[in-house]
Amino acid sequence: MSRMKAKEIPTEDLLEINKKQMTLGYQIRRNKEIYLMMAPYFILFFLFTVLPVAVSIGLSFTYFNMLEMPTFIGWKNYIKLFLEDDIFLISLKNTLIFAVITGPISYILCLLFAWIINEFKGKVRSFLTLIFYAPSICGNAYMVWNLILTGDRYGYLNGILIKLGILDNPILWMKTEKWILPILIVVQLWLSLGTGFLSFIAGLQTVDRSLYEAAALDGVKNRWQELWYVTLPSMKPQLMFGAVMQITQSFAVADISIQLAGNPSVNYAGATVVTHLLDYGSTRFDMGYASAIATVLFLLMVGTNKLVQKILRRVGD
Amino acid sequence: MKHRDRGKKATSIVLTSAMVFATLYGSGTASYAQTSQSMDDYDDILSSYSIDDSVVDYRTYAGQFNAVYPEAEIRVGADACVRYDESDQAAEPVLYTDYEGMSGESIYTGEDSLVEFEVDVEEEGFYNLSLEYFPVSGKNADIERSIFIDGELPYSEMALVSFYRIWKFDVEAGERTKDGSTSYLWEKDNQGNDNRPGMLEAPEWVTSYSYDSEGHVTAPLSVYLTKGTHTVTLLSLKEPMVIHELIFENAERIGTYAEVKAAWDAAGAKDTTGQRICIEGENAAKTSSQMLYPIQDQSSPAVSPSSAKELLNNTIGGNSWRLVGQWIEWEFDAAESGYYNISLYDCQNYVRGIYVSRRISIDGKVPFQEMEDYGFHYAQSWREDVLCDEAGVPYSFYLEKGHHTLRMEAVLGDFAAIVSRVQNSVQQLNAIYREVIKITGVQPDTYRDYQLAASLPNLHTELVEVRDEMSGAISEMEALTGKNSDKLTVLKTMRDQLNDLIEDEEYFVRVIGSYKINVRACGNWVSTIVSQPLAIDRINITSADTKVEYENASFFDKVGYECRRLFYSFIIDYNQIGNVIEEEDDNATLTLWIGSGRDQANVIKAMIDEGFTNEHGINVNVQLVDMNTLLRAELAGEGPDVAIQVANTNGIAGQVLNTGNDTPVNYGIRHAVLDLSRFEDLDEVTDRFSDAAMVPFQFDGATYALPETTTFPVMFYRRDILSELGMEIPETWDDVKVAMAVLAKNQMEFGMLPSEQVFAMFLYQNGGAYYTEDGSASALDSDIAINTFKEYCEYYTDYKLDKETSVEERFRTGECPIVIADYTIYNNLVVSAPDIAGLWSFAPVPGTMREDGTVDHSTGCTGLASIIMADTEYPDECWEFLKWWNSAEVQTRYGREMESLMGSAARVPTANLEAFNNMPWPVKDHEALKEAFEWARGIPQVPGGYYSWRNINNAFYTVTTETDTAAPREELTDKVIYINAEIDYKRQELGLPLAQD
Repeated sequence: MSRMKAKEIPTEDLLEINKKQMTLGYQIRRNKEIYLMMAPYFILFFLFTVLPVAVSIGLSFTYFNMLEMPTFIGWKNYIKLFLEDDIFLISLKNTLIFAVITGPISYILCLLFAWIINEFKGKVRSFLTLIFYAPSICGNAYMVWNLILTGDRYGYLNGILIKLGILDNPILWMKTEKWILPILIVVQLWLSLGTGFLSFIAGLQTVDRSLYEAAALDGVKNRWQELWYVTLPSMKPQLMFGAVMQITQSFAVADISIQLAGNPSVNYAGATVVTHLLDYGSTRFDMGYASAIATVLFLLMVGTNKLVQKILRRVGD
Repeated sequence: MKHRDRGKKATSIVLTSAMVFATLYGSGTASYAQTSQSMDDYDDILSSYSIDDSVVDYRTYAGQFNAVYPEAEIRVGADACVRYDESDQAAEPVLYTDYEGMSGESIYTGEDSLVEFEVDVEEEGFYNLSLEYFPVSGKNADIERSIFIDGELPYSEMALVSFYRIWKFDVEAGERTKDGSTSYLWEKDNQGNDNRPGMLEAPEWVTSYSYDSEGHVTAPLSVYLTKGTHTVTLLSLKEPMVIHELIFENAERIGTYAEVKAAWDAAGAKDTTGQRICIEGENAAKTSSQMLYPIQDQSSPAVSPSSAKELLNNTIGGNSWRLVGQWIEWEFDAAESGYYNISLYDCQNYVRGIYVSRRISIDGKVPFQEMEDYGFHYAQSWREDVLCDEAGVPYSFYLEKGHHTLRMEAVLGDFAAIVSRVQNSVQQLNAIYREVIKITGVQPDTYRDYQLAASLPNLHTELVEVRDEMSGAISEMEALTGKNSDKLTVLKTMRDQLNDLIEDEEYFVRVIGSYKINVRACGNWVSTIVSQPLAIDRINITSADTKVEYENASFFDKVGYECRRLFYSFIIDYNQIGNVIEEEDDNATLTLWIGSGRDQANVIKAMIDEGFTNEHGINVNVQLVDMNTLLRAELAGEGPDVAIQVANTNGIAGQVLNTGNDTPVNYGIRHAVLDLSRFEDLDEVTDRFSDAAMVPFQFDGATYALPETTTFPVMFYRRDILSELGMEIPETWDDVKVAMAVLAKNQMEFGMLPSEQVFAMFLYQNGGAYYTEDGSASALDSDIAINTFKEYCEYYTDYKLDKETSVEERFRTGECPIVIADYTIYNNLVVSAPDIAGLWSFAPVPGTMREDGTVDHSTGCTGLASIIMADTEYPDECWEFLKWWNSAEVQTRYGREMESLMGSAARVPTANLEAFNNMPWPVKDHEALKEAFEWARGIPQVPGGYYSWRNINNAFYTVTTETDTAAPREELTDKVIYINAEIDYKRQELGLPLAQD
């Protein structure tokens, strides 16, 4: 019946209907269950992620001291940021060093540990997972580093080194420029077995067992080949997720720097883009400028993510 | 130290004149009529007795004489007063006749006074000294006196004898309950919560023995007097008092329960039947301390009254009733003469492993020996405690029909002797530590043989002595608390280590660090043991045949109660304090934000409702908030009208600050905080504060805040160590450099952590400034500033001062006998360092010699601020509030309330000068502090000013960590460029003229 009816409708009307069906409103009405299910997340995502990013980009073109209304000043913030701000360059340099060292190393470490732990069975595996994941669950676990790195002779590190005769006098670890960044990197690495690590473990367990058998028949000779041709390709989504987490983490490092080295740290040796941003946003009452920094950081992160995605596509090729 | 030198000079003049007089008039007429020492001489005795071996403690003193206790009673009245000095000058004593109902003459003794009485003794022997006094109003603190006999301190406990004041609740009393106890009509706020009542002094004539203020001796103190005429000197340390009589007699021995009970039985006392008297703990009639006020307990439904929603005054005591000597008194009526049992519904979940003790007296008398110190053991929650003997048989108390009082006083009980033993040991252990580090240093080389036994021949015997003392304390402890008390571990660890050290002294080299930690633990042990907290909900006085029932004490009651509390937690806004006024109210309603804690907020709210709202008709809603949200709240238009206790932008509100307070100026120049100079009477108001305190809040002719607290560094020093080393207290920085050499020779250090205030101290003493006149550029590139910076760095490079380790810690162990630290540390040391009590003192910071020969002791200061937000609807009302809040009267009251709430550790470092003088500091310390206060200088705040300290600090760390390459001059001048750039940038932003080149 309906077919018959459709035949009767002239072509113009059909086009008209087709056009109607193309509109968003119609699509939503037609798939309203799906949209409804998506709505909670989408609304939250829009309110708490898209909107702030948009506002922040908008604010980056203003002078805004948070106590008075913002005034539009064009590219001035960016000009200052790129041409005048020495400290931004220091912080950018630190952030990149951070990202380049901690990002890949901790990514590989995560994978490695996940792979090794996956070899264990049952309770032992859960236990080991907990042990490795523990530092990142207990929020401010890195505060113990404050104890280790105390700058007087009562700090653990100083105490041990003096006892071993390596040092004569205690070193103010977190007040000496050359030590700050290396120590922060070590602490960050210690902390980095986080969500990425957990998702790898989950990924490893979802790999279809029969694939290994098939691969063995197809001539896989060793575990490395198995890893590269079977395991990794079948857990690409987890790899992707881990990479995104790792990159955002290493670009957004701030807490450990502030807690261990202070903000501002001595001669900005521990400054990262985020601490620099916080410095402007709070102490210096310049939210416009802070927003400009945030925008740059945002673009930086998006760019790196794209790059990493490209690299990851080659896994298993 | 300037003050002390003046003192010395005055002393010598007085002494010479005294000698001249003595030769003129001839001596020997009245050998003891009055002593020849001046008040300063007495102060000197007090400042050195703790290191003077000839001044023994009470136990030793009592052992020196025959135990003769004459029955004679000697009363010495005001007419026997032979000398009265005030502030080091002879003065005419003020005598009252029939003062406050006391017939005869009484003498007033001021807070900085000395009074001497002549005593004729007929019979030689020990006498308890008691005082009949009237606690006239002063600064609300306990009255403290030193007592000397014939110009000498008989034993160390007499150096500080406390006499209590009497307090009652400042709330309308209701009708007496049927049991004869007082009851109160608690005031409620409009949320249904009971207000904590204020405390009011209720002075009356008191006859009190002199007791050891530390509680190590539980019995009243006695002095040994030979036949003849003696002079008793009372030197005032704190607070005035009116004295009617000094009484020398011997306290009657109190019989044991068996004896007393037998006597009662013999007199025909019978059991009562069916009597049940119930006194609510919070209905106390009097207390000895303003810290003892009703507590609002919500931990159990069994306390009475109880509510899951409202906070009700339902118990008393708790942690604030922990200090030895504090008592609470209740009243009740007995309807029948005869025997009664006493049971308490109480809670002692504060100290585990030991028990807390109370002296229980009825009608002012301890009924029998067992009540001298009755112990309350640890239990997890509220429980019934029947006063009973060890076998669990309840004690019978004989009560006559009629009105009675029941008093419970915190005493150390059986622990007194142990505590004093351990405390002595700690002092010895610290002395040993210092002796050893003189040879080895704090970080000995473990591969070297220091020959400790040869260089310290006495070490072995000293160690054995102190070990024996420790073992003694441990076995006494075990006898009291059993072998498994967790309070024993600390002492045992120390003893075991001492045993190892006795075997081989050289072992010190390996364990010096842990030795120090163990000694510290013993010191802390003392402070945990002396604390005797106990909370009381009800006191039941019943016939033996009557059982007391407790309602709501079952498990299900508790579950129901907790569920209700959980439910209410969704409804009640805990950030709103006290009365909440709805917007519709006709009067102006201010919103006040408080940045510190809940206790502070409660006190402030109560004071506002009572004082401010009543007087001015302006309502105030008090909210407790984290001040870090102030900026965001302002941004969202949700900010308050007034904010008090505001710290620097990134600081923790309500705490003592380490850097300057930049919030008011930074907000002010961005028009978020009201410029107070629009109010005509601003000048009158700022006169209340020192100019220094105003400096950080003023910029460009505007005033953005009023200061609330002012803190600044002073120099603390260890009297015992300095005299051991034969050192003088350094007066100038040159003296300090000499002192550092002497200290270094003895492996000790001068303690000073790098901070903005320390740098400011050097800068101001050298005549430098942070900024140019108009604040438009940094003045740190001046020659003075650069030289100052160089000097500042030298202390950490050439003299290698420690930049990290807390000075307070090192001060306590004696590693740093001289430290520069914030004056509020004083309170911490007084409260939490009993192991060095009386061994330290403080003075203004060392100064710099000026060209004219005077010494400049300037130092930087900082503090919390009160601000009015610019978008308030009621600027005038806000200003009224600020004036009220920062007035001397209110600040004094606030300070005292805080102290009454949390003890002297919470002493408010108020910025109001008059209120500062009203704080209950000991007289001598107050003088030193006042002198230091006059030298405090403010650090100005300018736009971009946060860059100054940041860059000085950066330069400082470059210089001190790269000692070979970095030169102070270059580093600082480099950084000044950054500072000036930031200042220019910010001034441009704010449309201010730039500095002229």
